[in-house]
Amino acid sequence: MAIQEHDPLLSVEHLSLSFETTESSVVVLDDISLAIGKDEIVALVGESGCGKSVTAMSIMRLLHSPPAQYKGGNIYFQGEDLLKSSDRHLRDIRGNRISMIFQEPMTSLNPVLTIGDQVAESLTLHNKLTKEETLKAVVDLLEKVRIPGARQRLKSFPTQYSGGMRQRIMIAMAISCKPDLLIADEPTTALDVTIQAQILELLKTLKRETSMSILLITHDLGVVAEFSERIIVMYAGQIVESASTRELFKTPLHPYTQGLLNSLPKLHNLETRLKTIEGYVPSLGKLPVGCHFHPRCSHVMPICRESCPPIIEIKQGHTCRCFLQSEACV
Amino acid sequence: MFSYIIKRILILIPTWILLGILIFFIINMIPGDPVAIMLGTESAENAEIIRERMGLNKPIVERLGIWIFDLLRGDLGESYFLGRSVAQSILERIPVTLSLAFFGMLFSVIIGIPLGILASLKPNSLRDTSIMGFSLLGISIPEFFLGLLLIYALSLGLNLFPSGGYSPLSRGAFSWIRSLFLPSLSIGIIWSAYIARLMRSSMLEVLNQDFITTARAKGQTEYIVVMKHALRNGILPIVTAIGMIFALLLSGAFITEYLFRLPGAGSLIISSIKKRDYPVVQGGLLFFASSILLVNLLVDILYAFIDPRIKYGKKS
Ligand SMILES: Nc1ncnc2c1ncn2[C@@H]1O[C@H](COP(=O)(O)OP(=O)(O)OP(=O)(O)O)[C@@H](O)[C@H]1O
Ligand SMILES: [Mg+2]
Repeated sequence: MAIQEHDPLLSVEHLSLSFETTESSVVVLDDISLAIGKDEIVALVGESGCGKSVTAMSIMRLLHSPPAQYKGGNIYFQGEDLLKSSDRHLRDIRGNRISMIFQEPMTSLNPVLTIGDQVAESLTLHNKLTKEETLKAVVDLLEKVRIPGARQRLKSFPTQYSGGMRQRIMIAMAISCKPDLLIADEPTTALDVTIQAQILELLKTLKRETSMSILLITHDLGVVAEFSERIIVMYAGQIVESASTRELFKTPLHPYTQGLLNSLPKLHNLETRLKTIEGYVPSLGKLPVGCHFHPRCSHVMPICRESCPPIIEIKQGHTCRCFLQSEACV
Repeated sequence: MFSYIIKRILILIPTWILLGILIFFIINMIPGDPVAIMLGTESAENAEIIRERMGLNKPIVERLGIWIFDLLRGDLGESYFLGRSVAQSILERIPVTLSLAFFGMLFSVIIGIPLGILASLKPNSLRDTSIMGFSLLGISIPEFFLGLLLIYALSLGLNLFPSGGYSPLSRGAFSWIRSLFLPSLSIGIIWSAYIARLMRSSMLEVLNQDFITTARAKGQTEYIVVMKHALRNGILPIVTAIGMIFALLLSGAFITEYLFRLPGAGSLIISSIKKRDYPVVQGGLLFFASSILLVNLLVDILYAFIDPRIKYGKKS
């Protein structure tokens, strides 16, 4: 691991994970290393199916085994290894010190429990509160995420809310115990564009008020440009590049990142057609030999078809998994 | 909510009259002559007189009119053979049928729901496989055979319960429950097999939903995740099923009643069919159908109370 943060909040080191059934074993996370500092916003980007949600779920230790099998590596959170923690200790951490927002606000809330009940749940689970204190805290939280008429809404049910409102409620639940780390797994993907902006704005405001770190998962580089301080790019179960947002947008090193950036619309030359990356995302069960990206890469070299490049730090804080770069270094 | 209930009750009235007409035609189409059965080998001369007294000489349409008209006044008519009104002879049987249905249901719920939940928590495990094996056995075993097994083991073998007969509640709660225990258990086991299966698949579906992950991500214990978050959702389809089963049980567990010699509504209908006692059969069927309608109504109302999606009119 090359990132030299002082005592990062979360540090995932060489994490490998596979889904195993009696018939098959698919490596979904391959040597994932990432770190999130205190008070930092980090974005994890990549195409659908590359393993972003699995990464998040494995940090929360929410994957069931079977089928999920941790194959190696460590997940350090505030100095303790979550892979070695007891179930009880993990429950103390979940919702309290690390919390999560999910992609689908329509299905992430329990349809038969009231909003008040669901927002109060983490609160009462991790704090000793009286009924009145809980009630007050829930109302405060709902106001914080800008739900109008919060007090009157406690007894209402999720079906009475739109997607954007539900995502606000999810956020209220997630921040209720003032977590140190908030993992937001594509919190806006299922929402309208205008609502998307509002939700991101809300997250940003909440972030400013507290000192929580955020891991924002998305497949939309455009979303993260102004939101996150650092970007981690994932491709087919591996991290292929990681750098500060500014650096990554200025000098992307990996051909995949370059492709992603080229496919973004740019304000100053709207006439040029957007470029797309040729080919398809490989399924994780049938990865090509060598570099996972080589069948789609325009700079492919003979060595790329033979072995998988290691991830190395090219510059201070900028890592990349590509032979073009390691060749350059040699 | 209130207007919803009123609406549902108003719909019942035409449904009910339609049922009356339907039942009348079905019964009167059964071949056989009650008068011939009543007279046995006696001379045919008396037959006409009796037929006239019973109103059987009138054309069928007129008889239908009389039946519906009486029905609307709440009169189900007189039994040909029992020497009392149809309503009275059914009412006598209701306590037996009702308590058998109730205890049978109780057993099936107490056995079926926990088994279904247990199976769903570890799908395809040894526990799941054995519970589903039991369930398959329960679904496929004939009612009379299970009843016989129970009589053989618990009555003849261990002598814990009577092998048959009914002891009314008025003669003491203990002997009442004792007389109903085996038949209820027999019904309960069979229906618990069905409920366990339903509960399992319903829970499996719910446990895969996103909001279950949300609850776990809050740090909730697995027990609360299952008992609060999953069960409240997973039980919904079961409520409907329980209502249906209860209605079915009310309309007579003929075989169990027969096997355990219980004087319930089921055995009344069977013997009345044999004798072509039309008024009793008609009244009995109407009673069964009405109880199904009523139970369905109750289930729908209950459902609206436990599922907010219905109460607030939005189904997503
Ligand atoms: N419970 C599971 N069992 C087996 N395979 C799984 C499971 N969950 C995820 N996978 C597989 O792991 C891979 C990565 O999935 P993941 O959900 O992490 O993708 P993602 O990057 O979050 O994509 P998206 O942008 O669509 O959310 C996929 O190929 C998926 O099929
Ligand atoms: Mg995902």
